[in-house]
This record gives sequence, C-alpha cells and structure tokens, in this order.
Amino acid sequence: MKIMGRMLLIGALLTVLTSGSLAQTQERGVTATEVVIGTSQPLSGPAAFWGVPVTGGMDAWIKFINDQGGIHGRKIRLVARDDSYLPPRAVANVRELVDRERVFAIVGLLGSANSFAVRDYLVENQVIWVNPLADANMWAGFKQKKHLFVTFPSYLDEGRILADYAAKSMGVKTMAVFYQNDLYGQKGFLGVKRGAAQAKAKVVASVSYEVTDTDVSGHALKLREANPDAVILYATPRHGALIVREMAKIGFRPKILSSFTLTDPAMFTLAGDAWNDIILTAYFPLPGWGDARVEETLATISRITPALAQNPFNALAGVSFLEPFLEGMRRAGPNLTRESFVTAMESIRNWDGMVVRSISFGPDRHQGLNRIAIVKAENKQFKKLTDWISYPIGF
Amino acid sequence: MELKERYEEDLFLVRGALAWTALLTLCAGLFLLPYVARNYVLFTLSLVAVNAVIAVGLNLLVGYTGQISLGHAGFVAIGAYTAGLVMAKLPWPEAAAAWGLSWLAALAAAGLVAAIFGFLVGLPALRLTGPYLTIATLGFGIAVHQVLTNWDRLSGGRTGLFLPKLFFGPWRLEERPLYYVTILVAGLLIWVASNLVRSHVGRAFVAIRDSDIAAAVTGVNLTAYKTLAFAVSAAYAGIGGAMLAFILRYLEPQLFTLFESIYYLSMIVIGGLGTVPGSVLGAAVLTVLPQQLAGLKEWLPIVYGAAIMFMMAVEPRGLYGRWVKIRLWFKTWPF
Repeated sequence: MKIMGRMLLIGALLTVLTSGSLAQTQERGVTATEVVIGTSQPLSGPAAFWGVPVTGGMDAWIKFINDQGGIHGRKIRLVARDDSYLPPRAVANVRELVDRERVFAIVGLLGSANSFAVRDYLVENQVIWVNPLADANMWAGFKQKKHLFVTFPSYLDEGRILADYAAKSMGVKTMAVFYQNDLYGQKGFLGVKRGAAQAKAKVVASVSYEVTDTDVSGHALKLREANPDAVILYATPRHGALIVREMAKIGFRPKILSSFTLTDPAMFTLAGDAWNDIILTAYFPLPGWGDARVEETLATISRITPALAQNPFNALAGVSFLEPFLEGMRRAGPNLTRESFVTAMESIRNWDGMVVRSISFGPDRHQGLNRIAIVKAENKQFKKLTDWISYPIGF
Repeated sequence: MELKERYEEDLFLVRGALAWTALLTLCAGLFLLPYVARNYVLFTLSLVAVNAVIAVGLNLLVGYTGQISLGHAGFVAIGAYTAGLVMAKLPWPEAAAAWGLSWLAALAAAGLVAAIFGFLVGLPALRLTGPYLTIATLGFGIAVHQVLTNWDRLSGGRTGLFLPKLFFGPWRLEERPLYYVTILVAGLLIWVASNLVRSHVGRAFVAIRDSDIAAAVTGVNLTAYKTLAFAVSAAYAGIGGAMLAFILRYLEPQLFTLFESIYYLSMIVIGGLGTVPGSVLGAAVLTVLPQQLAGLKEWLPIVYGAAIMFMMAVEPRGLYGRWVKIRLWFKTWPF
C-alpha cells in the first residue's frame, strides 16, 4: 500500500508534466500563423531593473508588430522566463524554452555569465540565438557562430574606449574600477586596463563586488583610499547607484564613468543628484537627441505599456535587441526555416532599424554592431559628447 | 487488515500483491517513459531524482537524528564541484572516459569527499544543539559558497566550471541515458535509506532525536552515531550534487546559496519529517511546482509561498502524513 500511494502520486505528476506536450511542426516554433520566441531575463533580483523594462520593451514592440498583422501573416509570441540573474536558472530556463515551449529562437538573453552558461546547450541544439545581452567580445574567434547573431556592444572595447576618453579628454591620470565579480565586470575591467595602458594612465585600484552584496560602504572606502582621479563602473543599476551615493556620502567625489548599461534616466531616481555629470556611452541614438524614429518608437511602446516611459533607455534597448530578429524574419519570407533565417540575416548590410542603426551581417560576420558614442548625464538627459567611435569586429 | 504471523513478515518493504503490482508498474512506467515523453520531462524527472536523493539524506539527519542543518547546500556544492573537478581536471585516458570511468569515479569521489566534510561538521554537533547547531551549519554553508566564489583557480569562480560530455560505451549520457542513471542511483539510495532507518543504526538515530541522554544511557554511542548521521547525510547530498553537475554540465557558486539550503529543508518539512517516502514526495512537489508556475512570473514567489503555507496549515505532518491518514481511512472504511 505504501508503494501504491507513491506510485499514484508520481503517476499524477507525470500526467501533469506530459500534458503540456504539443504536436511537432516541421520547424520548431513555427506554424503558418505563429512564431514562438523565448527569452530568459532577470525579472526579479538585483538586475530586475534591467530585465523588467527590457522585457517590457520587447513585449510592447511585439504587440505593436502583431497589431499590424505580424510578419508574413505570422504573429510573434514571446515566452519570457525569470532567472533572477542566476546562471544556473538561465540554463534551466533555456532548456525549458527549447525543449518544452519549443521556441524557434532565443532573443536577447540578459547577462554575460548567463549567456556563457547556456552557450554550449544552444550551440549543440542549433538554436537560433539573436542577441545575447552579453559582452560581445566573449564571442571573438568563436567558430560555432552559425546560428548566433549579435548587435550588443563589447564591454572589452567599451572599457578601452572609456579609459582612453578619460585619459585624453578629461585629464584623468589615475583611475579605479568598481566592477561586478563575473564575466560582465571582469571584461569591462580588462578593457579599462588595456585602454589605460595605451593612454599612459594608471589603474590604481580595482574593487569588485558580488551580485548578492547589499552594502557597498566598504567598497567606497577602499576606492577613496586609492584616491583616483576617476572611478569607472561596471555594475548593475542597483550597485551602481549604491556606490555613487556611498562615495558622495563619505565626501569622495572623483570623476565617474560607466558602461552604457547604466544609461537610463531612471538612474537619477536611484542615485539622485549624484548621477549628474557621469560619463557613459550609448550604442543607439538616445531620446532627446532629436532622432524622429527613436522618439516615435518610445511613444509607441509607452502608449502600449505606460510604465515603460519611466525607463526609456532600457525599454528602447529591449526593442533594439528584438529588431534585427524581426528584420531577419521579414527577409526570410513566408518560408521560415532555420536555414532561410540564417541566410536572410547574413544578407543584412548597413541596415537601419527604428532604434539600432547601421547593422551589418555577413557569412563571416555575425557581430552586427561595432560602435558606441560617449555621452554625459545631465538632468535626466544624456548629451552626446563624441561622434560614433568604431572598434574592431571580432567574429 | 493483514495478519502477520512471523517477525520476518513485518520486515518486508513491499507487502502483498497489490503493492508489488504497484511497484512493478511504477518501475515499468519509469523505464518506458523516455519513449513517450519529451526530453524536458526527463530533465525535470532527473532533477526530481537529484533532489529526492538530497532530501532523503537531509531527512536522515534532521527528521531521524534531530540534528538541524541549514548548510546542506554546502555539502551539495562539495559533491558537485568534486565531481566537476574529477571529470574536468584529471587527465583521463580517452578509453577510460569513453567507458564512463571518469563519471563513475566522479560520483564515488563526490560521495566520499562530502562524507568526510560531513564527518568534520558533525564534530561540533557533539557539543552544540538546537539554534547553536543551526548557526554552525549555516556558517558552514556560507563558507563553502564564499570559498567557491573567491577561489577562482579551484572552482572557476563566477565564470563557472564546465563539465566534459559523459559517455558510457556507445551511449552519450544526456537526456534519456542520464535520466536512467539518475533514477537508478536515486532508487538505490532510497532503498538503502529505507533499510537503514529500520536497522539498529536507524533506531539509534531516532533515539538520539528523542533524547540523547536517554540514548546514551541505553548504550548508544553518541559520538559515533551523530557523526555517522552527518557523514551519511552529506554523502547523499554529495552524490545528489554530482548528479546535478552531470545534468547541468555547468557549475556556478550561485547554485549553492543559503536559499538552496532552506529549499532542501522545506522539501522534507513539506514531505514529512522522519519519513523516507515523504522526502521523495516533498522533493518532487518542490521541484515541479515552481517549474509549472514559472508562467506567473513576478507572482511566482507569492503563489509558491502561499501554496507551501497552505500545505503546512492543512497537514503539519507533511504530505506523507496526509497519505497515511487517507490510507487509514480506506483501510477502516466504512467505519
């Protein structure tokens, strides 16, 4: 009887599990009327500040496209899973998306560490992967890139460009890096080291934090001890805001530079006035620069989901991650298969989307974007300081 | 009601034709499942098997011996990383790896190394009880997590540790074959645990739980049995960790946080403290529930938490306790 009970319960469990099964189609995730795509994002936890608006932007833009009839008669369905910014959960999510939800493609999976963790699985299963939101330099020299398309910037090159700008245009001689102890922060830190060495500036301190840290007062003291001219941040919005406030609190006010990942006006809400005059980068024209299509896109997604107006950069970034995929779908035509999609993506040259611009792919080139611009944070706006700066294509 | 005439009859784990049919149907079902189910179902069931092994081990310690551990993720981590390092860092000859020696060795090493750590953590347990022991084990769990995060050379740090592919002769161990391996190992360990708790060792554990002074008076060697409980429990956790490493083929310190320790503890509390089938049930529910509810996104923690509170409010003795009541009701029906 004991065993019987166990069996009954496990039987019930199996029924629940298998009931989700769907009939197989000719191409995974594609029917005559629908394309299913998946993403894994930090919808909770320390990086939710990125994940929620990015996913919201993607979602709103998909609604907009679907309301116009979709692409070649196919509506797009986005299945988003929360990974709390934890790589192991991203692995489980991706397996679920591919194996259970049977998605055609993974679009915009957030986090360098998370992307690195799921890389082998996606490559082995030949899943279309457009835009891992991860250091693009991670893929440099990567051979199995057939199904991978990236328009996300490279932290390594960004770090190098930021350090170079600090040394040459801001008169910075000594700098320190506050970075996240994972692939994201490490790659940014490496870039800053290289840039500083080239520009004959010195990196006098590097202070790393863990994603799980909730207090950075000790980190701020260490940074003050090194007394650098500038501090460069590779952090989540939460940790970026915390360290900037903490440094201001102890009266340490160096010049501050940061990755484009913190180029959102909402950072002023998190960090207060301390966020003014921070130097950041951007990889697409930001709202307020007078770019008609960017403003129009922001208006559209804010109309669909009003909350997105609070995080305009992150929401637009969400659209920017999705756009190349949609263009690939358009070019692939009614007969959408993995093969036709790859061929279509590789035909994209100097293409301008609503948000991202001058994207080029090719049979040997799967890194579609290789330029950023330096910007300055001023009263919830970001002023463009330089023209677009290009960096070498890695894959 | 069945009548038992000899003591041996009471010792059988499986009794009666009905129970044997049920057991054989279950085995056949689990064996045939890969031919009808999706890989994702197999992946989920493999995770259930892993968590069941860990939960059964934890229940031996908490439910049977009454020693609280809030650092069990630490033992799981030690097992997982031992397996990962044995497979990834040792220079295995190609033939040995192809015949599965590498992962078999990894599985054994994981259990052994975790057991050694379990023994070491068990030593302070000789003098600490209740909240003090909880804090000591909590500290152990956090320490393991910190070491794995910061000792990059050993663990790969936050970049993670990748495991090579698993082979066993002509089979590549993933999805279906790996499912069989995890189910087999879990079945074996559950069987061992079921027998262990009915042996003199199990009775010593229970005696310690109920009153260690009384147990010592009746001749139970507290030092031996308390550390043994920790070592066995840790070995289970280590083997569970190794299988987790085989399934994910990627390890990262964030897999083994304090939250995971609490998660393992809630498995056995929900399933039923001091019962082996309860641990399996709890592990199954707490593995499948969050997965099935994943579509709720930000509402997940609230719904999940509420579901657990509801289960505890309705049945404080756990899911297995509820089952025992249902069985009793049927046995005595219609009275």
